[in-house]
Amino acid sequence: MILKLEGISKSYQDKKALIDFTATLKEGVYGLLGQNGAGKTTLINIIAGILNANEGRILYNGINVKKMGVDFISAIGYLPQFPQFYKNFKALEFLRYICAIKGVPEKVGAERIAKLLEMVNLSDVANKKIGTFSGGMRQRLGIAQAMVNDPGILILDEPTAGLDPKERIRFRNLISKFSKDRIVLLATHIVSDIEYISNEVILLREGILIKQNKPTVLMEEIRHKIWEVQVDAENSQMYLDKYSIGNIVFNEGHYVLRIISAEKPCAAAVPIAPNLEDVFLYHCEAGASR
Amino acid sequence: MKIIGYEIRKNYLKRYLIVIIFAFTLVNVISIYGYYETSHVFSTEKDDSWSKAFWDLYEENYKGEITIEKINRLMEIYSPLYQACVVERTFNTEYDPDTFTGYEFGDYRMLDLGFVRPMEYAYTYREKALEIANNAKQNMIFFSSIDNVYQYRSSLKIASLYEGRQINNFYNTEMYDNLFSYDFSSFLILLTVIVAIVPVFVAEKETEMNLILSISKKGGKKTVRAKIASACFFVTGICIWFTITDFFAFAAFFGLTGLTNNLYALRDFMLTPLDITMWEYIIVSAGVKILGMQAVSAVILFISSLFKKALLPYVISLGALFSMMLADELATTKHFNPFDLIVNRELFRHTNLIRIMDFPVHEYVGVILSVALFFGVFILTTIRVNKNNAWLTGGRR
Repeated sequence: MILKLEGISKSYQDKKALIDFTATLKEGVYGLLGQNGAGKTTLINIIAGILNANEGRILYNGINVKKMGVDFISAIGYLPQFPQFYKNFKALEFLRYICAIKGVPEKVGAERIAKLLEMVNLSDVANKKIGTFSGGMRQRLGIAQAMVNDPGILILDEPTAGLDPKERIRFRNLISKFSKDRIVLLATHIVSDIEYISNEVILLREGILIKQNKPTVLMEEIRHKIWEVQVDAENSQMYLDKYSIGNIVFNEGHYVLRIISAEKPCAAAVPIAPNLEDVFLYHCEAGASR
Repeated sequence: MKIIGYEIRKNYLKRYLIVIIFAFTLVNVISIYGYYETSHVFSTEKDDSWSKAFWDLYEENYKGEITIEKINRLMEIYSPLYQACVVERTFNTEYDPDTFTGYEFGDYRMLDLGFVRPMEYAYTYREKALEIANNAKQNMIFFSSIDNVYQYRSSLKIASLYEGRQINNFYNTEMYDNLFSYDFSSFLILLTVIVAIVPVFVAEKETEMNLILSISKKGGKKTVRAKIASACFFVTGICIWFTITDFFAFAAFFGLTGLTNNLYALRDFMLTPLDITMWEYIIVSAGVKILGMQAVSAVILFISSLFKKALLPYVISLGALFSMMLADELATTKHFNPFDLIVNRELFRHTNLIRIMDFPVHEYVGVILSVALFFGVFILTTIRVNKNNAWLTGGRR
């Protein structure tokens, strides 16, 4: 299973939302990382056919998706950013409806729905109205609807936005479960969502693909660029103004700053192991200001 | 069909909508009762001597076929009353146990309004219709002589329409006179249609379901068509529901009688182009109203498909409705305005012909066709506005 994106560009009047985006995706979880407005949703919408690109082409298993038409659509499962679904529908009824519009045969659909409700832990509330669901339950129902046609490509746009930490972890685990034998494209600006589950991270900044690689490789690339500095209150402002700061902890009258910088910020700075958040900040914030 | 079912479930089987329909039905029945209270001549509750006398005489003596015997019997009791009340101007209102209503003048008024005038209209209708037919025949000869084909055809149409028209039966027409001039239920239907149809497309965008639909095999044009079809079913259903409510409420309050009588037995419909009975007209009128409502709902569907949030479409839909109502009041031409079909009695009260390719066609046919075209244009535009997934259209959206 290979999804190839070749030279995808998209402009909205004067604004370039995506510039010559080229990437190859195979089975696994891809974390699409970028600040708000970086072009993540545009890219997702182009893959899903919700938007059309100004330039470029998409190949699925070597075939241009323009020629695949409905076959390509049937291979996609999609969870939008803020889905509310139909509040007057019951969960089970809603999934049956999704099966109907996705053209999933009734018998196959019934089996899949039962299995999915079990997997997302909503079997007990299958006959409850969606309007009574919490945000986390709604998102779990959302991933179930995206999976109902057993898609080869699963696209999730900011799926954990607004969820509490417990639900976020629960949701992350679900994505891992569903990632077997399929391409999962997970757009987010919450780094912890993808830190543990993504096989590769795609970093977007202002519509341009900056990096695509394994999280460990990306972290390795910025080794020796992450520093810990202990400063007093008077000097802290100078560091805040000058550097990209990953974290600030106030500890026994001092501030401990996590600084992202290619150069050692001060003699007392101690190099520390980078995480994916540092990679994000390095490329999207510190990098941008360089 | 399955998707249409889901669309009906999604958009119309909502608790608030069911409550609204129930509440509006109640308001409608109360309004019809109010209408009855202020406009009835003879009370069906028979709570006064005048009404009781009328209904007793109507049921026992005069209802049904108009015969010479019935007319003679009526004139026997009416003539002395006419002499006393109108010629001698006694206006006697003293209690008299030998009268139907309790006093002489009451009897005169009851017989005059309830029997003599309507029977006289029914009895003389044949003559009037024949006169129209004969005049049309005279016109045919004239227009034929000057080679005016269109006017000749028009006269022929009128002659054949009015020739042979007659009213053989006498029935109390109060129910129909009032039912056919009652419009409040149409207003309630319009409000229900706005509440129900504005969210059809907007709600999908508000809930982001439009994104899920657009990447589903049947979520594009098929779903749009299902939405349109389900809206048609809903509008038809709601119109039928209110038509039935109107009918039974008017029948209950005014009294159901004479369903099989001719439509032109109503003075208001003396010159109607329709040669049908009361019950047939109730169905025809409901059918025509349904088409008008479908056209209005097509406009609302179109508005709904243009916006992402519901507030503006509600305001614009209301604005569109009032504009159509205003245009209906002000415009001289009746074509292309769905309101002419919604409030359709004017369309069927008079025989008006329009010229289509040198052929005379009843005006109502022209209006129906033009509104059907209006409906079609809005439906097609709505389908076009809602785009398919780019990969289903070769990368264009």
